[in-house]
Amino acid sequence: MKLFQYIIRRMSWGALVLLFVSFFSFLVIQLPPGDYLTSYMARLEKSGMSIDNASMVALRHSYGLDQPFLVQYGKWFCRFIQGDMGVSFLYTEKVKVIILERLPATLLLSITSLLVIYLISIPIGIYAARRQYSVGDFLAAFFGFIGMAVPGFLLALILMWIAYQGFGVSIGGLQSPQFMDQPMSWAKAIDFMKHLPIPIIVITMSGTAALIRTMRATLLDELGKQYVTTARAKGLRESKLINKYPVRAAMNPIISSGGWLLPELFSGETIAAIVLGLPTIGPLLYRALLGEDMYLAAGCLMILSLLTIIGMLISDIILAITDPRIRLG
Amino acid sequence: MTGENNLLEVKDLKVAFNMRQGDVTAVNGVSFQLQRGKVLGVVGESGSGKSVSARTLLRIEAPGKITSGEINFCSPRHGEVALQKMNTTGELIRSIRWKEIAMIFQEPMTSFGPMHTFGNQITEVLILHDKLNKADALQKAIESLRSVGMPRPEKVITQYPHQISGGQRQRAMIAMALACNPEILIADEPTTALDVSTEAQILEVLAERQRTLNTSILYISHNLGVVANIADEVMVMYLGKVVEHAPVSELFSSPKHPYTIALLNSIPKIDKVYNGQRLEVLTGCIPDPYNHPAGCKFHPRCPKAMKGICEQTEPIQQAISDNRSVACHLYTSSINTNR
Amino acid sequence: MKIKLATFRLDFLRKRKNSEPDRFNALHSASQWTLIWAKFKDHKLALIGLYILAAFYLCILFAPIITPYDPWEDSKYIYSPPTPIHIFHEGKLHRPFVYNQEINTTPETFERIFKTDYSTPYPVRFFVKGAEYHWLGFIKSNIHLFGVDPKTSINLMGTDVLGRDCFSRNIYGLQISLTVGLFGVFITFILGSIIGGIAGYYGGVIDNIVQRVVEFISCIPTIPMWMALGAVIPQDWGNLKVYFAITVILALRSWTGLSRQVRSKLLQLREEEYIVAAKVSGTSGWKIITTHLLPGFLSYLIVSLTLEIPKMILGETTLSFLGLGLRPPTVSLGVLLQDAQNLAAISAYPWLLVSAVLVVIAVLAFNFVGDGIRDAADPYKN
Repeated sequence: MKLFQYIIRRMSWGALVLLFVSFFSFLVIQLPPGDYLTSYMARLEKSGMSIDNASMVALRHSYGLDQPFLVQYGKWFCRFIQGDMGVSFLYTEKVKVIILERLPATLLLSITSLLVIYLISIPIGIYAARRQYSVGDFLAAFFGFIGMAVPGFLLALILMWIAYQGFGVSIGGLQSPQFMDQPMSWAKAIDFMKHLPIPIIVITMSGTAALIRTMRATLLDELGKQYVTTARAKGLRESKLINKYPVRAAMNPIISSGGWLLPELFSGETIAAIVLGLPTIGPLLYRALLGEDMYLAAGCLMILSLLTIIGMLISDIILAITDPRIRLG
Repeated sequence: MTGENNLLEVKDLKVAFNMRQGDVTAVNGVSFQLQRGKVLGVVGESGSGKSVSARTLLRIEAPGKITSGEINFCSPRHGEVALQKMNTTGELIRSIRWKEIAMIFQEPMTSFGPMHTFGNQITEVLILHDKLNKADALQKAIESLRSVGMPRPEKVITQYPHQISGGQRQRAMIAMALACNPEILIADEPTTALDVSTEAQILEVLAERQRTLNTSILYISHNLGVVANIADEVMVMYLGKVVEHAPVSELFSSPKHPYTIALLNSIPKIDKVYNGQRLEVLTGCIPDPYNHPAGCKFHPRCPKAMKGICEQTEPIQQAISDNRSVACHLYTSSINTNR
Repeated sequence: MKIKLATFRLDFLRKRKNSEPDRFNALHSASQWTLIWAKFKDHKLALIGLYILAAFYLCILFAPIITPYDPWEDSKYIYSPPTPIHIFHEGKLHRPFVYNQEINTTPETFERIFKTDYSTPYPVRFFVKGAEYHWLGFIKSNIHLFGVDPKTSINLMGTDVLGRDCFSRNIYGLQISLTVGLFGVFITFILGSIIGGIAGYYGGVIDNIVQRVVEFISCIPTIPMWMALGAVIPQDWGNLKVYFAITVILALRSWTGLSRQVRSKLLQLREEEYIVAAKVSGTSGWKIITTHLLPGFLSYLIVSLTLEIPKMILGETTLSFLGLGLRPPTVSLGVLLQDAQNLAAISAYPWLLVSAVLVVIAVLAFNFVGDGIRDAADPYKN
């Protein structure tokens, strides 16, 4: 029952956060002087065409750009809740359609990355902590530093360069051009799998490095605790007692790390996608920002934040289920 | 092993820790015997090596290392075994741990894993050592909890460590330690973190267990009063060495070593009139562990230190009667400068 | 345990009165900072990091003097690879010199080909006259640390698309990139410690509100948020304005982490027994803050701030690389990396990636130093 209440509380909290994020998103989009139409006008004028003032006003009115900020925000938010995110000026298409088109790839990359991060960092972190100051620990620390210090876009560039130099293939996007419009097939799936590693490496690098450090430090902390000695004195096998007690306790910060890992993941994903030209939401946001396409940009920011909030919610709930100290208060 | 009744014999045990600042010999030549059904009290300040000695008996002294000495244990299932030779993660020592030698730790707050129920953690040893199935183990765990006076053991079995008080947790610890009916129970300051009434109850549980099941207990404490209550013999330690070993009544009635005397004097006595005079306090503090004094390690703080002797040669532990020994130059008949 | 500690302290005082100075006492009476420095020196990586940072910041300070060329000055040497420095001329040992590179254009493809002219050595000279500059903004000079005859060119890290000297540009780029972190951290420090301090000191409703705002902000993924804010900066703003806008944007995100730490540390310290003891014995609030809270706190703050700088450097670099941060003609490491955006450029002119190497080194150095301070400042660690 307590757990249920906790979940309800976290969910209503998530909704509140979303409200704030929506306001922030809209505010940011509105801040630059001028709007899409003024830059559109400027472009038209450059190419020698012009629109008279009256049709300009009409156009502005039809987009609702002549209303005060809060009214615009309110209308936008109400529509957003109903699933209508407005129209993209750049693509002359509904924002919802454009985003939905790219959502599967975004989700696929993010979830795969999250799994990869956990699958790699937890065993390495455990190894590094159990064999403190060994060669393996040193290598893990080295990898950790590299992951922390090399910016994602640079890693993407370097990996692309290596692929280009070493294998003579240019690896951009998530599939080769010849498969673009073909239906799903084995060949397409294999081609897709070939394109996956570089984006995944770029996205997971810094998160993995950070998580290895966290796992190692937490486990080292736990290994020094009395209950580990107790378990050892009980005659348990070393590997069993370590997996049962300290690793289990060290998992908590890892589970709650979902909270900071997800924003980090979407950040990395955005960078990787821009440099590698992946069909995800990140580059869409990038293009929308550069083109002052406000509804599209706001929509992208909202979706990325929404995914983050949902992820945090899930990690909070998992933590509550796994940790008796939280579950039972 | 000398003596029929000896269960455990420790000979000249030395345990050292490799620290960055240098080696620290935490246990520096400790010898004692533990007899079946007896309680041996070990007394000393923090850092005297009493806890490390105890852990070494279970071979969980890491990161310390045994540098020399013997630990002979009369195991009911394996015969006489030399614990010091065993691989600390090996099959043999693991079968001795908890089944034959169990230990109660000092900190009730942290000696249970936080993520598992008491039921899980107690039945674990029963399943491991007594090869019970889950249901039987649970039943036995409940019985064990009840036998140490735990209220509502059926409920406690489903609870997590953070849900019950420190005193109850220590009770659960004792229940876990006694669940497999060990030959030897090591109690490492089991009541230090508890209030006085809980302490008395827990001492009673231990004493009763010793009476009814003839369990040998190694009781470690820095509290002389507690030791006086429970122990048959007392061993006083200072800086990794045994300075005095005597039957409990003799130790309290006629202490020999100046350190023991000082310890006893620092306890306020209920029948003495102090008239504003101060309680005698042991002067000085335990020396830097990396830099032990030469000669008798106690001489810088000793009121009876003899110039030219005590700071030069280290006294050896010598029998002064049938059942007591002391390591002090005051009781050495002839001073042997070679040693 | 506590009682034992107290008697130990008393005993130690007694020993000092008896004036028995020994190493033990010297160590125990050393100030907090002496101890931290002694421990920090044991941390090899941290010390190396500190040396690297010192070298970088010296370069920044003396940038116009160290660099042989004006970083904005075009030259005919377009995409020239790094100039090799020789010491043997015609088989004989010679003082360090360079050969001139002749530029030829193939008539068919208009491709530029560099051909080394081995006939004349141009020695590397020190303290040569070159482009005029204002050091620190007001000292006018034209002396450069090193240079060669104007008939040829020395480009230690090659040149870019306009023939500008990449070595000079990278040094100036460091100037911007490494100070963005410092200013950003300064703003973070002000915002984080004030807001976190208020939340931790007053607690209750204010604390709750601050905590919620912090949570709001951390729900927005960092890079998209930075990108959105970066896009807000008007195109017509001057270099300096954009520079400060970027530092503010970077700090807008990072203060949340600091304020959270300050708050929880304050809340934790408030409950510590020595603080309670000070309060009970009538010590004034100001004195408690300055003599008890701050020392237990300052090292902590310094560590967080040191570790925040590299994140900001990475943030600036990424934003500028994407074209949403600093813009040319401002030279930052991120701006320089805009030239290395595609594979063709990287494979043809790999020296453009030197800026990336500098970023990585700077970020690593800051992290090492931060780790070192953290290990050194924790009094309860061996």
